[in-house]
Amino acid sequence: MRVTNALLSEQIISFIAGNQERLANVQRQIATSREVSVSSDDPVRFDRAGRFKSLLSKTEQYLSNIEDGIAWIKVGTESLDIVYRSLQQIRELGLQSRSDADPGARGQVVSFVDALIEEMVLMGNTRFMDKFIFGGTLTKGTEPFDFDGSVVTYNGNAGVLSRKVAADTYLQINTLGSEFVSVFGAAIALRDAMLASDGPAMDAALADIETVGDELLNTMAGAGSLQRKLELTRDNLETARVNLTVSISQAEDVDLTEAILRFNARELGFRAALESSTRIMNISILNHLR
Amino acid sequence: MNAASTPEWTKASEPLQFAAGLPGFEEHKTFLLESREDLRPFLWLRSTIDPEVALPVISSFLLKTAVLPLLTKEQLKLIGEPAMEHVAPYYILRVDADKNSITVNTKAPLIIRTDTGQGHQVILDNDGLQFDAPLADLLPSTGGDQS
Repeated sequence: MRVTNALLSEQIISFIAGNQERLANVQRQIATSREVSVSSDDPVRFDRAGRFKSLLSKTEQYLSNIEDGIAWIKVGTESLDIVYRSLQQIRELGLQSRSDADPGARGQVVSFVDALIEEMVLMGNTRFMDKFIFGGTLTKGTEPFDFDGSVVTYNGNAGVLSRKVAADTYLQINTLGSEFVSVFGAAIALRDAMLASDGPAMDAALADIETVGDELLNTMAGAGSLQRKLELTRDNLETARVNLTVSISQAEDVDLTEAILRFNARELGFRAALESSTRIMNISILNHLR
Repeated sequence: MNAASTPEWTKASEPLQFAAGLPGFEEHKTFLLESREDLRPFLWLRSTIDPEVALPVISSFLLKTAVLPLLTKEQLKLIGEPAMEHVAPYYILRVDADKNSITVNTKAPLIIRTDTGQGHQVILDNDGLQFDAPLADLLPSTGGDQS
């Protein structure tokens, strides 16, 4: 068959073009370390890697939500801890004052109790990321607690704040101010009884402080339980993240098995130790599982 | 390594039942362990519904780690409360191509019941464990601690 120059030329151009395409493909793999980087390489694997990536992206979003939730709870727990310690200080001052007959000294103690109540209110109005954490869903604007010198008012609502941690799962992150607003009333009642030098009223207020103190501890335990739930979910998602990352590598990476082969070649001592330990333990995992 | 010289994958276990799937792959309930001569002691845990879902694993017995003492009763219940000699823990490996390193998820091992093939990926409650512990740090020097 006679081969014309034109045909020859066409074949050469086609050959070069094919080679260039193959070369470009190899270079892309080398440059990106990915065997499947465009859908035409292997549509099925590309699609699978895409699905894994989408799942990974969601998992990472959930992890981010959880980290935010845990930080929110931690800030709240620290604030409640300060409220509890202030309440205990107020109780101790009340007990001392009850046995102290000097009205002048009692006046100084009352000022200190007032300062502690202010501190408790301040903690009740704690913000995280510029949002009030104890006001329910009213996180902006009016502070959750308002103290006019004689009464502490709760301005928040009973709204639950939550974070999405799975496709259809939300976990609560907030503690409501209404759960511990009673601590302010008990502290103010003690202060007022001290001011009035009213012994029976002081006794009643001290007993009340003990009760609301226990309730506050329960509230804090509830927050701790929310945090634990988030941490367990985080560990599970972190495991999912690792599994998905491994699978994405499996779907995309050129050198997953290569890396292990290199490792085996480098760690000859490991393989020797493996054989020796298998003999010592008289155990073969493979035999067990067959 | 060219295709002609690549050893064959062989089945290294009967089907293993993961009732809860694996985190991230909850719909995959049945897996097989597969091995390839040149990749041992590493194995591949391959899903039977999608063979492309395959995770490289290594027995924790071969590394300086101890899984069995850390398992809780609740975790063992997940595979039917077997006797300890029937529990085989495995770690999932990750290859970081950029760092050219292999890491091991010691925080969340797979526990496989060798007499029934039940399996579960558990999360151990121990702050010293990592989701990405360097494999090189876990190699036994003379056989290693055994769990």
